[in-house]
Amino acid sequence: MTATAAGLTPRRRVARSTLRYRWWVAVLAIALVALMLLYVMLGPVLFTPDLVFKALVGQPEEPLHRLAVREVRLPRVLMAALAGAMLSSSGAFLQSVLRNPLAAPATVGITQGAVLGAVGALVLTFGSEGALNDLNALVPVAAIAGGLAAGGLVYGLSYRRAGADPLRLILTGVVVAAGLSAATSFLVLLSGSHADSIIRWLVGSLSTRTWDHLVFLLPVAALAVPLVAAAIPVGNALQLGDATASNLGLRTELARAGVFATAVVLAAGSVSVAGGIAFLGMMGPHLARTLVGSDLRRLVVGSALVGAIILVAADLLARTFSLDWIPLLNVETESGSRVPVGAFTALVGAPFFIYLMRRPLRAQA
Amino acid sequence: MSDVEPTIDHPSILVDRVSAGYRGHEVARHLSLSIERGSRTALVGPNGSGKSTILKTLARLIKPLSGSVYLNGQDIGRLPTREVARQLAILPQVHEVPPELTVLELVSQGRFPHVGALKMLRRQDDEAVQEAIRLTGLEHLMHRSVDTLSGGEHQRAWMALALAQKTDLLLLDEPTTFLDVAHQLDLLGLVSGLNRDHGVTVVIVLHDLNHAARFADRMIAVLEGEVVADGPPTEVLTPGLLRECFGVEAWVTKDPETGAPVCIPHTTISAGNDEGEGGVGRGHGRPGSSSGHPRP
Repeated sequence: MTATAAGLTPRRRVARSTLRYRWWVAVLAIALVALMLLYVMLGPVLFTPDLVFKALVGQPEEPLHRLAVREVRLPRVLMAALAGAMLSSSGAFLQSVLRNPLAAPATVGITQGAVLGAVGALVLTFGSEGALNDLNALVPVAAIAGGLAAGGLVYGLSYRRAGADPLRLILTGVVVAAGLSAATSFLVLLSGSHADSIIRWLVGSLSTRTWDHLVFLLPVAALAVPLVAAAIPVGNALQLGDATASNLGLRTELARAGVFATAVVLAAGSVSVAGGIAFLGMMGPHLARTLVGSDLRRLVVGSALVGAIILVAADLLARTFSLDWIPLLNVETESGSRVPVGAFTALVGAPFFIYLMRRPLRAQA
Repeated sequence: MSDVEPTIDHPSILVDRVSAGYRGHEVARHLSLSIERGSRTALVGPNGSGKSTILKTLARLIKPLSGSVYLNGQDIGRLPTREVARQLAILPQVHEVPPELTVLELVSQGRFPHVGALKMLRRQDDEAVQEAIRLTGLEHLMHRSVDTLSGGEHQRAWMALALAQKTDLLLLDEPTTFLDVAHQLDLLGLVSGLNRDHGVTVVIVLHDLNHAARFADRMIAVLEGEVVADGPPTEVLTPGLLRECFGVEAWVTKDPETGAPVCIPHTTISAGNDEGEGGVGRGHGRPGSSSGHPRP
């Protein structure tokens, strides 16, 4: 009201928080591309960047290079980036809309539902030809169906009269997740000798992923794009509490169901190619929030980048590290002494989870 | 007020025989009142009297158990919620805010009902947002996280969110609760200014009766969900009402500057025993028989 001369000067300066956001997006994007290049370079055969480039554009010095780069490493690294980004941004939506820092696809049962779907499809098709060669189209489809069903179940069970209260959603999710894990364990016991390929789904693994798997994932990712675009502004209003969201003109129950469904699609898609990667869905958005803040317009982008980076880095480790390196450990596994990538994210994720819980809880006035 | 056929000049809010509350717990019964455009109304009453519930019902945050609320002549229950959000803003008592959300990001959300979801994907620092931030004196805190602000700044940030909605009707639920006296006066001054300069209709729930009397042109006293007094502050803020509604003996005098009534409560009236809802005797307590505070 009392406008001073200083108050009237136009502010066309770009805000510090915006500069900070752009800076972090640039840093994360460059880090991701560099990491992906490193991923393609490293392996049993080492490639220099120019060899990678030649192989990519189709003028390899040896045909083998073309195969290693274009058919093995490139699809796998793209999948790692996409699956990591989807899982992590799913967590960003869940944490916002459930207004709980511990919310994640794996804490509300979506991951477990998708894993149960994948494992169920594997077990069902064991007898048939080619069931285990990982080109079994039924597996990702069943994983997505399982994730969607689990999400629907959790939402339905939490629904009382007025709607699904965020806290009840999380508690129901924890219970459903436990139940679904138990069902999966039961299937693993039934499967007997094939436990090794099943465990890769439980822990999360990207080994032997090819372009065919990416083709399964693309329609899901395409479906997710409009959902994400709508869920970002809606989730932004919803994370201010139901009263405020309603005051801003949202039908809160419909809004919550929509954002939740978006998170379910993202997580189910991710699990359908990468399995039940541990902790990434919770860790990614937390790290991103400290960099770019809680506005979902920024948080979703940040979470996707952080998630992609973590999974690509973890899978690079998983691809490189061999159990044979540890003396006294004579392992002979079907997957060639490789540790599934999910084991690495869990290794980092568990201490992170403890750190998160020991931090003083923020006061919500 | 039984006929609610819309007329040409509608009141800002018309409450028609509304019973408000939650399932199994009726807070207010058959309440009818009308809030005129451009007025400043204060809802007062003891704890648990139902004033917040009534306010939330006016803002369609709670569905009435029966009866209807009309916003500018239209049934609020039938209006699309986004349309309601363009016409009224409510500042709730309790706020939830995620960590690491800046003041600007919070206040920008006020544009949601006007621009719609898809345009909210773009940056919203248009005039309404800037004005809301300026009116609440938050320019220097624009890029700070809301959860790092002091209680008073926090409340002003939420106030700015409601202002950014640019509605003609503002409902405020005890907005001064966490503020020190200077910030209380600042906030009431801000709301008065909006009312005076922009014709914004204000309904405010206040605990401080003297603030209410000074700020409002109409006071509605609520007890157990019923309106026990309704009128200009000079008619409402009387020793009789304070006794009946709040269970206190008080002296009432006049603000030397504005002429508004000022009350000085000095003794509570015991209800005999402490049983029963509300705990206050409705007018038949024994003055002077109570606790703690000796008569000066």
